[in-house]
Amino acid sequence: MVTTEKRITSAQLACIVFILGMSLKMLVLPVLLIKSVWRDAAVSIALILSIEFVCLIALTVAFIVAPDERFPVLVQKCFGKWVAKVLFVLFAVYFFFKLILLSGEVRIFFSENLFADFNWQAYSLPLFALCAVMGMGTARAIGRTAQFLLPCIVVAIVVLLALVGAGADLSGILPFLEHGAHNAMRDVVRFSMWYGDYSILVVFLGSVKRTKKTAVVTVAAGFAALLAVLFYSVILISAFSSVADYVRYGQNVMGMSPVMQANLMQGRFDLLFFCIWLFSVFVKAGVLSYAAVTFLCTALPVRQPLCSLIFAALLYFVTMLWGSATGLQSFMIETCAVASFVFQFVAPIVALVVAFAGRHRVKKQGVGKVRAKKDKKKDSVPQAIPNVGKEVGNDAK
Amino acid sequence: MTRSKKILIYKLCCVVFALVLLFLPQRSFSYGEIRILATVLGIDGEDGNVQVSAQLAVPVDQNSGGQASTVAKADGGSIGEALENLEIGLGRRVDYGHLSSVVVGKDTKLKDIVKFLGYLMSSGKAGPGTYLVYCSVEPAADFIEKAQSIGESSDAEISSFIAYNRSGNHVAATGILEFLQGMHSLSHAAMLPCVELEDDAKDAAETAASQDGQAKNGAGDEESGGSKNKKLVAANVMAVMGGEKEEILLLDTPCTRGIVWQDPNSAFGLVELHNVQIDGRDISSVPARLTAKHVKRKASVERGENVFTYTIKIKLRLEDAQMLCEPICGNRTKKALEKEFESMVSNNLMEAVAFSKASGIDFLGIRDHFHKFCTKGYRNFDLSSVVVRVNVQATIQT
Repeated sequence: MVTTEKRITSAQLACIVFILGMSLKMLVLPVLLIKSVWRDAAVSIALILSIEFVCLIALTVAFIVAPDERFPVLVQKCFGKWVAKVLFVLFAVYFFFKLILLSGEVRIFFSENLFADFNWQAYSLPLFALCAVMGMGTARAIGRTAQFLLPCIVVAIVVLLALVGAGADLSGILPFLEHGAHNAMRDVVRFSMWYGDYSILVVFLGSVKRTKKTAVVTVAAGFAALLAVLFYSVILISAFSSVADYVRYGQNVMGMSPVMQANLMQGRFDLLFFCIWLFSVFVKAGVLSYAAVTFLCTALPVRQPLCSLIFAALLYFVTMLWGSATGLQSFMIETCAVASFVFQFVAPIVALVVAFAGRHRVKKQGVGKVRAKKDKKKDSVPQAIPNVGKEVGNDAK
Repeated sequence: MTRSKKILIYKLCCVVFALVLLFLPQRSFSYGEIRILATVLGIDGEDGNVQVSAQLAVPVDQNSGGQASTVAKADGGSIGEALENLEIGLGRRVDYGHLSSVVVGKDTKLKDIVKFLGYLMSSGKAGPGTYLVYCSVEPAADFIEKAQSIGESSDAEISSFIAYNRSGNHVAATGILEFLQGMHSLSHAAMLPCVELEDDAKDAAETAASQDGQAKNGAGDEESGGSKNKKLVAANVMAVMGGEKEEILLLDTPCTRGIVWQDPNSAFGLVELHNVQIDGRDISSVPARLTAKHVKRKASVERGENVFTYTIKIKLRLEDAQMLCEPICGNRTKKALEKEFESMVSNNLMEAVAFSKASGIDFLGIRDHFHKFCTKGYRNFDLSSVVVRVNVQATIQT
């Protein structure tokens, strides 16, 4: 059995879901979509969010169905040791590239919005140090961090959305799909590295203390994140749909409030809230790092702390391969898009398969237990009943 | 890994993080002390010969007695080159993070304005919310220089003047984003509020002349000579541009009011009725404070005709409340006043529509609205044949 100390509560899971659901998609993705498909970006973002939400529902079902065994153990029992190892490495590589992308987005944000002479090589060190530290952590540590920061993040996002939403004219997104749906659909695949964030949740499969409300709070958190991203994206797309050539990559929720408020007398107190909101991006970086390190440790004979340090160092050096963040974006669009699009569906499918297989196995063992008891009574011969939970706990260790 | 080793790693990480935060800013921003902040930017000329003028806030020690703001000018073949020359001339790096207003000077061509503003926004020098004003009587450089002479805080004055007008006064304001949106929309038109510096002395003289020629020395006269004889005046004239026309047209005051009435962002300020007859009484002026405004636009096709309907609901509070003090007559007066206000709004807006149709400049964005909300009407859209209806509902709050 997974020890109670290493499991996260339903509330913590909901916090993680909310943070994963909205952080990266509010940085550069809407701008990229605007530059690509102009006002049809609203349709693309709606499709993207719908796909993600379906994946979240599938993963929530997996969370409810799965027995109290950690995801690596479930996969090993379902597919065998070597298939599991290959899957884990694939998961880790996927999360690795997502982290590279995230670091690039943060780099664009800081260089375009805050510092003209942003020294990325130096300033990425703290980000990757954070990744290393959180990679060494446990699911419970991640959950607690998310739970601790969530109230601040929620307040910040509510204030920011209120600032940008007041008096916003949303008619800029009309008319929908004037030149057909092809381009909007194409971009859903092209920008697939920017979403599919709920696939990270597989790492928490079997590590959640389930209650009756687990499914409801998880889906509600995902839906709230969906609404926040959609609301903000529609405002941004509406504002820039006719002037897509002029929009800067760094234009995001921070740059929108002075546009919408159009009142210089208020000052820039929105910056304070934006900085708080940025915590969500850093927490997401930590969750990605934790997931990747966990899978690598399971697949390879390396201990978690060392693995985490190597992972962070690798991240740093690979990130430095791209001189510009836009070059990194091109790489993600041209090279990783199709694989990422497929993989975001693979994660919930694998989670569902192993969850149902695990449940089936536990039920069978349960039937076996009853039969054994009956046989015991019948024959009065003592028999050893395998303790499934203990076995799994050992495997997990 | 033991707990003590983990703690050691955390401590090391904290130390590294602290060192990065402490020392790197000094290395990264070694030019911090030779920066200067641009608050207002003026643009004149055309592509190939651009003149820029900037009102600059100079960071100075409060006790040093140095000048806190200055105006600098530069020329260049393009706006980028002109701005570069500005920095070279100043010997300082200009920071545009606090740029609040861009002033476009008289005689600047429309295509050049679009190009310059596109450059400013895409380069990040001007944010999308930066205010845009048109100087219809003089070059932007002269305007900024005169504004600077008003006083030390004039850099803040221009931006706060526009910001206040946007939020607290019933005049229209335009940001760079709004302007470019208009020019790149299917209406291909935009409008700019005009600003000018008015002579206080001249103003005072006019007032004196209007008061039966009684000689009266106003404050402007007493303090004439020097910098205090000028003031910024609210823009009651709008410049419109777009369509097939290259030149910029200036609207008259009623047309400008018409534009403001259909602008949902200008929902506060003083509005005034002039020379009205209420209950047989001739009243020269009825000032009222606008407290709320709701504007709805609807595009439709009725009997094969494109119909564009404005529905404007306004709430007003009379400044001169004694007009409604008598309870029985008060209600009748109130109704009559509401009708007068409704008629004024409708007339102003219809004048703006008539100007738009006559000039062929769709600055009210009617074509764009049809494109968004009425595809059937957009297919055979013709600005001159659109039927425009204005429904106004004015409520005087008592």
